[in-house]
Amino acid sequence: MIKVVIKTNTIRGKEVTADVDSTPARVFGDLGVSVAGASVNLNGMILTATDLNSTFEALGVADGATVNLNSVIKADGARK
Amino acid sequence: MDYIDTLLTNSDANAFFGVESHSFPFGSTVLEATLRYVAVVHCPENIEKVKLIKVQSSTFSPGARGNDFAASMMESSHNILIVESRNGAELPYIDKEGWIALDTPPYPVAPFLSKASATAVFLNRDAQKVILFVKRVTERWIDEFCSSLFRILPWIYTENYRLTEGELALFKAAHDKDSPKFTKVVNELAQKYDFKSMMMARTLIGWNNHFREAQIRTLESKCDKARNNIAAQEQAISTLYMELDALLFNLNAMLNQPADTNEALFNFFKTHKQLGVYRVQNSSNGKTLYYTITETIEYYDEDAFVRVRDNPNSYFNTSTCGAEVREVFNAVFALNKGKFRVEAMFTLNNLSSINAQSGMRSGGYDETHLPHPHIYHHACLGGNRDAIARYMNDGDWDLAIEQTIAAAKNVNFGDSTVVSKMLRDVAGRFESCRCIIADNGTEMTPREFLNYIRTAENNEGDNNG
Repeated sequence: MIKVVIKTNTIRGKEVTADVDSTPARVFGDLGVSVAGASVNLNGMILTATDLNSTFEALGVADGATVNLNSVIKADGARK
Repeated sequence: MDYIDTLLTNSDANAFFGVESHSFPFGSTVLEATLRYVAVVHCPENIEKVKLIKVQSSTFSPGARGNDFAASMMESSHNILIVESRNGAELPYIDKEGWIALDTPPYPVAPFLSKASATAVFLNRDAQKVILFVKRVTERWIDEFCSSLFRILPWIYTENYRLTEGELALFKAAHDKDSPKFTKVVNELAQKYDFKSMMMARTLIGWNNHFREAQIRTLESKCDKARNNIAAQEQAISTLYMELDALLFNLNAMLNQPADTNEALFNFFKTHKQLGVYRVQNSSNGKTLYYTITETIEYYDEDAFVRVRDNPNSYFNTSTCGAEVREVFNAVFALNKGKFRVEAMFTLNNLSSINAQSGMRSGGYDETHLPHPHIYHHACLGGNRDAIARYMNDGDWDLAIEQTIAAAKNVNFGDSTVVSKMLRDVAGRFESCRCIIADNGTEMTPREFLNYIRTAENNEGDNNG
């Protein structure tokens, strides 16, 4: 099991436990959080669409670890 | 007629009409009484609104020109000008436009008055002005003048006007030099009015108004000043509120921070490989951390790039960057053969605010990363700015830094100014900066990347062939 500390626009530092063979997409889905159009990172590593559906183990997370899973919006860098 | 004393020319009447007895033309009470009689008879219902017929006296010398008197009269507020000859001067003539001589029927006034003394009479009906040149103004001439006023003042005595019995009697008495009759006629009219009471009423009713009006003006002025002061104070208060809001914003950010952020910040930077500490600056305002982000650009609108690429008039195709740079951009942003690496600099101030830094680089990535086009050239965060401010205000400095990372991964092809600079940056580092990670995971200069994709295309073509 691993401990995942989640921060998003609406969730501030919620801790959940997950199996290492779970995926970031599943953890977000269990919380009812959509990450469409979001920039998601696991311990600072930006996750691609493929990464989101990869297991934590495949993403390099060892069993028993604590990880940060953060999601922020993707916004254009230009002035509007 | 010699001096007469009437109710229209006594001291009470003089006070009412605002005329002193010493200013009667030629000192004649007869003339003054006649003029006031005519004015009162022809005034509106309210005697207070009576408009006096004003006479001015003057003299003329040999060589005097009538037109000069006419011009001067037009500037005057008087209705009648009686000009007496000096040194035997001959009567002048007026031939100025608008003036006519009253010397023939139906107004043969000049011949009539000339029986008393040689007279020339000129009228300007529109301007309601009369000028009389007289050889010598005598008592008799004045009497005759008074008796002929109805011929001299046609704007009052119009053709259809019928003289009242009083007027007929007055003019006849003047002509006949009948002082008792003249006085009686004048007094019959004047006794209808209590000039003394009317004058007192005019003077005393509302005598405080001047003071009151002055006070009103003073108070209005003071009210305006008070209003202006209030407006200035309100402006100052508004400015203070804005300052307070800014202070509260920072205070909230500080209050919402975890008590011990040093380790959390350290751990955050430790886990985020794209973050680097450039320097820390201490000041009276606290600590400012300059940090760098080294990332690959992956957040962009591919369709927007293709539209810019396919428009021959777009900044992409009119840039002087060269065809090879455009080919590299196409391989990166349309064909996804590689990713540009960029560096951006930010400051974190006491965990309470974050600012993008333009024109700053760490120096450690000049050979491997491009300056981030939005942040390095314009410190522009676009839509990320609001999110960063919101996170900081909530004390979520970690999400705010995450947001700066997201900003560093973005380029907006709708911003022609910024992307044009990026094209130039790539052109200027084409042979020297390994700012591209190719899809095989190798870092390359744009030149190496161009050779790489061309080789891959050729190999693909050979294989297909």
